[in-house]
Amino acid sequence: MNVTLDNRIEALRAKHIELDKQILEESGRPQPDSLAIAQLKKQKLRIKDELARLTAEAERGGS
Amino acid sequence: MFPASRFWDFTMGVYGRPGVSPACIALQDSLGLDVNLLLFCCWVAASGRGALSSQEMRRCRDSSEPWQAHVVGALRGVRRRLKDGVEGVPADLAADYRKRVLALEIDGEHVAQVALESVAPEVADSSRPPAQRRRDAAANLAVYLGLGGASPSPVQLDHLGTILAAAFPDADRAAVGVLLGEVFPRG
Repeated sequence: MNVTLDNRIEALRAKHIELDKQILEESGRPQPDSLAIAQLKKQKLRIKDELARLTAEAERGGS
Repeated sequence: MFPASRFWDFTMGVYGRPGVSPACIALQDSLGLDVNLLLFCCWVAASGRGALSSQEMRRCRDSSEPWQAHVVGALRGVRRRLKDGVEGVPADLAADYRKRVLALEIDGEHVAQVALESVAPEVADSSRPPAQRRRDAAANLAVYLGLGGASPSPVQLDHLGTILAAAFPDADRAAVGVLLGEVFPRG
């Protein structure tokens, strides 16, 4: 098990959930800031890509 | 769906930095400024396109206004109306529809920025020093605000400083304030 890699994946998942919450919160406001939501979604995509990369790495044995 | 846009990428980088979103919204609400144009002033300069003349800035602003007013603004109006609820339509149906309108509104901002980029001047000097680019950005903001006759208060100047400092993260915040003081002299 690669603890560092697992920790990184866990941290990214937590960040992904946090971004989801922020998007939901911003979207629910009476006057949501559309650029802020776009920016949060972009961050989320970046994290999703990074998560996919690290998960594949972990499955290969973290080498 | 969208062509690659350096301006949009710049916005996505800058808008998440601390204080930028509230500063932009405060300037939009208090001075009637267009957030896309505020960011455009910074991107034009940061990308080495220099300081725009009043004529150039007016052309960019005027090219952006119809889309903002008739498309993004109209969608915003619909979205706000849906938030209040519409008689005869169940709230959950309206809420789901509102989410889709909001997504369209976000895409509308993206379109606005791609369109603005298309009317921006070409990069005049790719070796333009960073300090000069910051000065260009401050000058662009002054020209943009000047078009509408807006004279920023100290609080509004501080908001402009927050945006400018985020657009140029290597710059010292105090130095950014000095630059803005030069282009927006008090009294």
